[in-house]
Amino acid sequence: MFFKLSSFALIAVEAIEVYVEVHISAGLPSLTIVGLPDKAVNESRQRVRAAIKNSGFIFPLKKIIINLSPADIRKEGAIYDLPIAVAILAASEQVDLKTVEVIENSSFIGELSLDGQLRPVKGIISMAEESLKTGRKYFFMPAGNIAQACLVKKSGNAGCISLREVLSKAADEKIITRQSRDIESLKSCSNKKNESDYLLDFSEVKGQLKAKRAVEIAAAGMHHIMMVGPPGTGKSMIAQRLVTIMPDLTTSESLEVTKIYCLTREFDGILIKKRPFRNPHHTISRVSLTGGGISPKPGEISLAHRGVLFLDEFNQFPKNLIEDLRQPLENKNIIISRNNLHYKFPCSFMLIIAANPCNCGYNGDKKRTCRCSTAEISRYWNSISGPIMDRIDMKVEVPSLDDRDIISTAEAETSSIIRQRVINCHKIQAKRYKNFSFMYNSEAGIKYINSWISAETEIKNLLLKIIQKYKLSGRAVSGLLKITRTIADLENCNNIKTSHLLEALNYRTGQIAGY
Amino acid sequence: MQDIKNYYNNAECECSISERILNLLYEQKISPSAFIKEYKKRFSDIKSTIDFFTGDKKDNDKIFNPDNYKSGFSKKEFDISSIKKILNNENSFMLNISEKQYPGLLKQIYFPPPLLFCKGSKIKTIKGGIAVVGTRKNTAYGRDVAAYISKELSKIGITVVSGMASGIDFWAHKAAINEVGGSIGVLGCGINIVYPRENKNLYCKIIENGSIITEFIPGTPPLKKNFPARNRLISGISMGVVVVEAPERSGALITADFALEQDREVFGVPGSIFFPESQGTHHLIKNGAKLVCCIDDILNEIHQFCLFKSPNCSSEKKPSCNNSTCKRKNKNITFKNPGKQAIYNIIGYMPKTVEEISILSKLNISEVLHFIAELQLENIIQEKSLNQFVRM
Repeated sequence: MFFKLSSFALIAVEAIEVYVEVHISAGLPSLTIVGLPDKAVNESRQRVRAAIKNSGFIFPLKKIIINLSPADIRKEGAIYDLPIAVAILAASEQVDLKTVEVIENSSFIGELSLDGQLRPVKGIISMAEESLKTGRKYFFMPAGNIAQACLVKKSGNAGCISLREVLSKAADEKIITRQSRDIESLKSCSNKKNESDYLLDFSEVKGQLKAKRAVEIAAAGMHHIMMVGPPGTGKSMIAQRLVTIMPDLTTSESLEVTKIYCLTREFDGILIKKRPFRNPHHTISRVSLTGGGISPKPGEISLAHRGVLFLDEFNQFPKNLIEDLRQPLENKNIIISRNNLHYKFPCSFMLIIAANPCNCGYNGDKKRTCRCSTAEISRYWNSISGPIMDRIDMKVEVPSLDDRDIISTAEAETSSIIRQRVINCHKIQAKRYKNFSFMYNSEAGIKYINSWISAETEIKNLLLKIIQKYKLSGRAVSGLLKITRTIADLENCNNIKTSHLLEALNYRTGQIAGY
Repeated sequence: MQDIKNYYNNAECECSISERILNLLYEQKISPSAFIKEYKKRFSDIKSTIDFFTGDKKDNDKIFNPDNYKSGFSKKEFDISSIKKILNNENSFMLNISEKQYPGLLKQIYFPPPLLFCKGSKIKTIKGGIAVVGTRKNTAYGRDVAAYISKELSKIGITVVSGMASGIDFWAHKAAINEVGGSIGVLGCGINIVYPRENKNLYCKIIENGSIITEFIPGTPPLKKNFPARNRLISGISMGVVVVEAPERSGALITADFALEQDREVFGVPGSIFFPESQGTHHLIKNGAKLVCCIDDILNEIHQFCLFKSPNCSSEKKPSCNNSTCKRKNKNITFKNPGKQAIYNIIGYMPKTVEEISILSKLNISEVLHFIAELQLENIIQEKSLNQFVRM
């Protein structure tokens, strides 16, 4: 007796369809799983046997072979308990013909406990997407996963509490359709709750007008930015408030982000609408930054996808770790190769870096004197990777506050006002780049950049003057023009003006660039 | 023809004298101070001095006993041939105390080095320079003062002497080498060692319009004890020492002490009374060092420099604020754009942060940044340190 049903395996963030095949033949009673199962999959033999018995079915005392095909992909986790159990029941003719038809047209995923209850699994969104793509009619999953799965617009998701419920639902399709309608309405309620405001606000940052302006520009054009300043001047504060001035994720973006997050343990099953803000400590390991492991998991750079990656005390990060960021910064994704598979995680993030100007932190400070020697300072700056610094468009100083600023109670601009400007700027860019593969000014190619200034002789003359004075490289000039474009977009100007270029100059040159 | 032959003979002779002194000092390990003592005793007759030590001609009064003259501290073995090789490779040369090209002022000090290792030709022609010294951890103000004074001195042909260290020394050298006067760097280590390492560029550049000198044999590491000895050369070579910025305990003050001992002029540049970097110079000024606020203050003090008078100083009796520094400060520029004018007026000669400028001018930050960049581009203002701007 043979039976085959559909299930899924996760590769990076994407799911692929996997068939669970059962063959029951005469012989000594045994249960064998083949098709590159890992330890957890192999142990499902015991769980399946107990769950079937405790759900009131009969476990066939025959020679049972289970194949997970395609057989060359590693299958991981206890997610195949449910499909195996259902396949055994179908193959041993314990379900009626009509139900078998439904089962053949459906996909299954889920972990069983010994009493036949279903437990939630990870990565359900990608699986639901794949099940939609393959055209399966129903997708049976643990009830704990149903809310996540319904983020994918598809009817036919069936959340079940136990193995028994799976079979009873398969027998009566009406229950499934009714239930998914309920979930739709439930979801729209919970989404409204999600839009609560941030706890932090930009108006709490005192002084630092230049840094705040720079961060606004950075958020508007998704430029990478570096902040340099003595301790306690508000670098981390500004960085933490960066997401509060960024527009919420678009629907497709939020699904992308949620898909990554649902591979992790910290995911609570609600669609993520705010841009993620990741702030890893500098003791982070290589694998947890870039992603990896025997079965690769997303790292911090992927968890910051479509959001912000903040590296505080940048120079404390080990150098090799920082060098690892080079390729992801360029390609907007990271490919991790394990065995014969390539795991591709997206990581299109905005990088924000904070560092002190020297070891003691007070180089160039007007209040305190720096204790470092020139050699120490140059060693300090040499330890920061040149290629990474080169990829960071904006550099801004965050000097110590004026005495008056520290105690001032004057209210600065709130995040919502700044966010409105940033949202407008994002819209302008989306309109301009609708026919291109990129979305923001910071990603524009050199060919496109040149078209901004080709007609403006005034700008060209000024640019020539700037290049001569500051001895800028080609990459530096294109970085400068990208910032200029964003500043112009913030003012809703179609053409860039000299004033925009001059303002942008403040974020390229200056003391830090000199070191 | 005969003259030329004589000249060559002399040259050969002098070269061999340097080498003989090198042998005496580093192979036989005669201490340099003993050498100088005997040299002075013999009324600066180098040949008889060398002969005394080599024992070619026995002195009548004294029987030469090498142990009496051994230098106490140098236990290290020197390989003379390898040192000569280094000197050849490095394009450097030796000057001994009897040579005409050996700086005249240096010959006058209490203990001149019998042998100088040099690079670059400036040292051969120097008549008398001015030393510009100061702390290694300077403020932006100190940097500007050192660069300004050195540049102005060098412009009118005065060589600037300093110690090739980082900080004030670095800025003094850097400003001086681009003008006619050039610069001389005195090292506290062997001629083939660049210390501190970040001065590598300066080390290469200074040779083009200046020189590097040291009394230490090639290969000597920059030991702590070398630097006070070096300071005595800095002041010895110069007619005066300008201390730009020095905290209370500073090597620059040692240089000033040596200057007094050697009968050189000492100048001090005042700073803020709140800056620890200026406490040492204020102390010097209180004790009689001349306060310097323009180079005429230096030129007036040293009569040999009368020829070098700076063009701006018409007469000695006029108050010194008529000089170039002050004149430049009184110049005001007017702009067509009111915003730019407002920002220019706000930015004075004390550093102001962008935030201050924004609040005082009541312009928004993006306008302020744009005008600041424009003014910077026009070389009217400059960034001092993190986000702080002053007029040039």
